[in-house]
This record gives sequence, C-alpha cells and structure tokens, in this order.
Amino acid sequence: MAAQRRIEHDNAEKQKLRYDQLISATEALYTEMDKLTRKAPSMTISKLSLDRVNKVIRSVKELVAQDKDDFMDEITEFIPAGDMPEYRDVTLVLSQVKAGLARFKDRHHATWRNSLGVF
Amino acid sequence: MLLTEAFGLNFTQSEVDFVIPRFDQDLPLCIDPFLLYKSRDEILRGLHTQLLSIFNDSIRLFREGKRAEMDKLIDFPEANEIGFGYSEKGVHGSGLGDYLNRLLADTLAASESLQSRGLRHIEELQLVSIGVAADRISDVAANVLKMFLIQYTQKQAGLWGIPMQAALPVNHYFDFDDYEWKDGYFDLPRNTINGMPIFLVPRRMVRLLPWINLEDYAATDYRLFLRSAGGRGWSKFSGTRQAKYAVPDKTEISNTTRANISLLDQYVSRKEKESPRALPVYVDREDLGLPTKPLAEEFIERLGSLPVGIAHAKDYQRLIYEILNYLFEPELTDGELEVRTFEGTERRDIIYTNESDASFWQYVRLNYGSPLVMFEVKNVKDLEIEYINQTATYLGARLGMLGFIVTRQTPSENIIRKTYSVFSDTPSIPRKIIIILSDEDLSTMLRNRDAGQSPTPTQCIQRIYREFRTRVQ
Repeated sequence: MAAQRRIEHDNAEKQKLRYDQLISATEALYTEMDKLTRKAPSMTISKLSLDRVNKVIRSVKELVAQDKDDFMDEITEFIPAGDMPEYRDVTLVLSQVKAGLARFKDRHHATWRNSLGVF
Repeated sequence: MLLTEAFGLNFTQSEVDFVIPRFDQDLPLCIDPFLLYKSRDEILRGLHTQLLSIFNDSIRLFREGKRAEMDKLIDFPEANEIGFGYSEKGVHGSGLGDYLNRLLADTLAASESLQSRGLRHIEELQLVSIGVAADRISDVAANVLKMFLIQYTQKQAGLWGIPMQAALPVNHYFDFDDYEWKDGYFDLPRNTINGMPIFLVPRRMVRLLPWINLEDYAATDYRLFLRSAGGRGWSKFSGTRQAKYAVPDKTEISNTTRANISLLDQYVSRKEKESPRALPVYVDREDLGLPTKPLAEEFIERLGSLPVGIAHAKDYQRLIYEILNYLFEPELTDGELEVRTFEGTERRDIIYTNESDASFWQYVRLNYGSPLVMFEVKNVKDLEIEYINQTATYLGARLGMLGFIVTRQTPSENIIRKTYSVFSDTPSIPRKIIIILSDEDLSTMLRNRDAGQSPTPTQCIQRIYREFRTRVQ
C-alpha cells in the first residue's frame, strides 16, 4: 500500500513539475507573441521562434495525451513548408494551448493536492 | 519562324525545359553565367568554374608576358547557333574575335589590381571594359558551353521528337581535355532558313540581362560611390532633377572601377548575397513571342481518355512528365525520364533538379537533403503496398527523403497509413515522406494554373504536404 502510494506520489510530482515548466514556457512565449501580434499581426514568424512554439505544442500535447481533450487533440505543430505562419495565428494557437493547460490543471489539481499537498 | 513551326511540332514553351528558338530572328535574351554559378546542379556549377578558368588563365598568361598564348585562349566568335542577341536584323551580330583580346589586354594593362585579383564572374568585364556588353557575355558563355549545349540539345531533341541532321559542322568549341578550341561534326537539328546547326538552351540559364550588369551597377553601387566621393559624374547633376536619371558615361565607369577594384568587389559580393533574387526569365512572357497557350483542359482530357494498365504505362508516364513540366518549370528543371542508377539496377520514372529559390520547393531542397525531386508514376487503378515500399527504398542520401507517387486515383486509407508508417519507421531526421498525387489533384493544379488563381500548383502540393505532416503527428 505504501509502495503504491509512493508511486502515485512520484507520478504526481513528475506531472506537476512538467506542468509548471510548460505553463511557464507557454506564458513566456504567449506574452512575446501577443506583443508582436499587436505590433504587426500579419508579419511572419522567424524560424527560431517557430521552433520554440512547436516545441511547446509538442510537449504540451505529450503531457495531456492521456486525457480526453478534443480541443487539444486538434492542435498540431505548425508546418511551415516554405511559408512561415503569421504572428496572429501563432498567438491564437498559443492561447488555445494555455487554455488546454488550464483545463489539464483543473482535472489533476485534486490528485496533486492529495498526493503532494499542493493548493 | 519558330522551331516548332519549322518542324511541325505541337509543344509549347510552357512544356519544355529549353527556350524554343526562332529561326529568322534573335531572341532578346542572354545566357547568364551567374545562373550557372548559383545553380544547385553540380554540372552547371562546374561549367561556371571552367568558364572562369579560361579567363583567369588568360590573365596569368598576360602577367607572364605570353600574349600569343593568351590570344589563342581568348577567342569568342558569336555563337549564332543559340539565336540570342539584341540585334534586330536577324541571327548575326558582331561577335567577339580579336577584338576581345585587345580589350582584355588593354583592361589588364590599365589595372594591376585587376591582374592580381582575377575575375570572380566574367560579367565583371562589362564594368571594367568599355567594349563588353550583355550580349557579348552571352556569346562568351555560349562558346565555352558549346559541348554541354550540344549534348543537351541531342537529349532534348530525342525527348521531343525534334529531327536532327547527321554530322553538322560546329565551329569553335572548347575541348577542356586538350584545353584548346576545336571544330567538329555533331548530330544536331538544323535551322531551315540559314542551314546552321541549332543549340537548344536550358531555360534555367537564360535571362533578359545578366544579373551582374552595367546599368544596375551604375544605378546602385557606382552611384553611391560617386556620391560619397563627391565625384564628377554625380556632382555635375547634384541637386537637380537630372541627378535621379543621369546615366554616367561608360568610359568613366570603367576607368573609375579599374582604379577602385574594391568597389567592384563590393558590388559583386552584394549581388552574390542577393542571388536568390536572380531568377531565370519566365519565357512564357507574351512580349517574347514564344508559343504559349492554356493547356489545362487539353491535359485533363488526355488524362481522362488514357486507359489504366501496364499496356499504357509509358504513355501515362510521358503525359505526367509533360504535365509536371507545365506546372512546375522553371522551379523544377531538367526533368529526365527513366533515370537509371549508376549500377543500372534501379530506374526512377521522373527526376527533376530543384532550382527553386522560394516557396515550398526551396523548403523541400533545404530540408530534405537533395537538389533532386523524384516522381514515381503508376498507371494502376489501386496503389499497392509494394509500390510504397519500392518508392521508400529509392529515398535516401542521393534523391533526398521526400518523393512523390503519381497515380490514377486517390489512394485508399490503407495505403495512406502505409506512407505514415514509412515516415514513422525512418530512424533518422528528416524522415522519409511519400506524397501521393492523383489525377484529380493534377487536374485541380492545372485548372488553377491556367486561371491564375490561388492555390497555385506549388501551393496545392504544399497543402497536401502539410496535410500529411499534420495527420502523421
């Protein structure tokens, strides 16, 4: 029983840590993209920025993969294929990713509280 | 009279890789050596190196005082066989025989710094020598490229059914093995008006003016130089409305540039950096008078009437080749049918050289590791798994990791899943991607091309590619 609780605790801790990392990375990217969108919404994003955005999308999708979240399932990485996306589209997708992370937190918050004592 | 009219051929300019020559008049085009320099095709880049080596060897001979040897090397009569030039009288211009020897010698004598620097591009001669203009650069290139153009012409004549005449005399081609000019006899098409052999020139090396040219130089770097130096050419117009339009005298430009070789370096470096903007001429421009017409409905009809099955596999392959030429030239160039591997054990249906500097095709070249693009053509009702496996084995270091299968119908879900598993099972990055195009996809692209509407053929392919990548995530 104790061993089972230990495993649950470790899993919850890993999940919470990963969540914290990703919410921080997503918030930071979203803030930057939002600024740029307000300035030049139809400008195209740079390759470096897009790589960072795609990494966040990929990682968040991995984190929420076992949950049933249609809206997150529909989000995919940007595939430039010669034409980079515009800031406004990237910002829109990042806002959906943020919302997806918020829903993920709502679903798991009770577990984290029970296992880790997080409030 | 156009070559197609003379020989009763029914292809148009949009379908072929070469510029269709006129027999009675020069086309106002030139071979631009810069397009060889920036090409992704090793052969073309090699030709640029060879072209340059002749001039730099001549400069060395001049410095060593071997003037007679230099004169032998720098000998460029007009290449009438290509039918390019800016003269309105027919297909004969002035050419560049002994005249260029003297010009080059005078230019070198006047600039020691040019002697030690040599040439990075032969087009630089326009900027340092008053007697060399754009058409002469084209003639120089054509002379040196003659052997390449002969072989290219023979290949294209075979592909498009252009009649050739045996053993036509070709004067003055450069034999790089013996490193000297020679005359010879070759099987080539013949100009029905003047009886001369014809060389077909690939569209990808042709422009209206060379990328490095005097007018551009005078209007940009040279003008800025004069302004900063407070020179005569600028200052005499300075502050007047004429300043914007004043064209400096060519002698003055040449003299100033010879004396300030760093100015030449600066201009050439800038042009090299801007090379993605150096594009071959779109020969379907109406003002060139080359035969073009919308072909979408004709191609779609041919697709619809061609039976499915092995018996018509060759016809289908040929039709797809013509359609791909029509859709993607000059971004995809030099399409070859039935290309065998070095050992001859495998055969690819159609291979193109990807010369694109923009859009999806550039992305493909940069991300999938090859300047070549392969299309496998299957005239079957339903694609089978083995076709996907076969195409997957072709993808790799030489042909890159992205390939296409063109087939009659939209593939089944089973086949699409197989392409996903090929992608997922590739152990390295980039992963192998096989994009399947159906007759329906091609018809959409053809109609959009003729209507000039979005998505263009390239955007259609980009969309299919994105769909693949999105679904496989």
